[in-house]
Amino acid sequence: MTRIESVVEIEAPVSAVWDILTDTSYIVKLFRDAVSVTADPPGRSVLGQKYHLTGKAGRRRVEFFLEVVELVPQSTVVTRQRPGGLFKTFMQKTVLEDKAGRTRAHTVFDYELALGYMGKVLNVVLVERLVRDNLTAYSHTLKEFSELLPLPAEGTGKGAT
Amino acid sequence: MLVEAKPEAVWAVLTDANYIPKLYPDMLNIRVEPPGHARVGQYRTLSGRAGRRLIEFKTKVTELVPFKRFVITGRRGGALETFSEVIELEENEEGTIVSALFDFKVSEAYFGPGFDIMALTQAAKLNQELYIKNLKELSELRDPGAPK
Repeated sequence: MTRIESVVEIEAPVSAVWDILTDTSYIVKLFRDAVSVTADPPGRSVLGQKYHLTGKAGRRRVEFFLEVVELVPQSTVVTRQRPGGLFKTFMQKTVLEDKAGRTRAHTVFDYELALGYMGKVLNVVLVERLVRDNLTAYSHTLKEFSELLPLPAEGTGKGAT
Repeated sequence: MLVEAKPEAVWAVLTDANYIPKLYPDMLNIRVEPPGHARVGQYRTLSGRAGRRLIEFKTKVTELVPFKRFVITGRRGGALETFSEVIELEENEEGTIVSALFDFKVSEAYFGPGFDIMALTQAAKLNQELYIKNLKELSELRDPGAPK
């Protein structure tokens, strides 16, 4: 079992970070090698929501099957592996903490790759590195997106009328 | 550009709006109405970024000739004053020849004073260049068990 743990301080309120964290359409941006995601039910994260995530390892498509198993609004999201896909086991836990208008985001990934899934086609060392890189970058990407600002008021923000 | 995949594979990526955030590096997410695969008249609202700013783009699907031609144009109210994206596919022995033509103008009124329109235009062009590269990469992905 491999563990990747990170803590980032985000210059944005918890609500802004939570919006990104629970918007399933952001998943493909938060994980660099994620390609597409379908959520059931669609829309924002809810307890029991199931994901089918497609990613890429080199020129190969790989799949992940996940489920939201714990959800505490504005605080905690836990996702776990469902049978099948690249992971033999997988757990992601992200906890948000308000720090006077900023947010401390603590994320833990625990995982083990399914060697049988990779078979003889995928290079195990390459896949290990790709997974590690993706999970390591996750928190910094969450920070980057959460800190994006709307346009200042001087612009119409709506284009020419 | 040659994509080593059949037109059907390229078309599947082109017409699935969920791929947009992967095709354009600075796009973050997309909402489509009606939901589902591209169809003529489908409205698309995209959130993206310009530096550290959140911006919005509004487009619609205006032409679809399955496995051959895909056209998106801009709608009023987004970061681009005008926008047109024309993608054409042609099958050959090695896969699919993809031709892409982008035409756009950044909206100065949308951004307001203090923004470098030339830099924004360059960023948009870079996204469009990467779009084609990413379209090729995503279309050429193979399943784990598929032969090389």
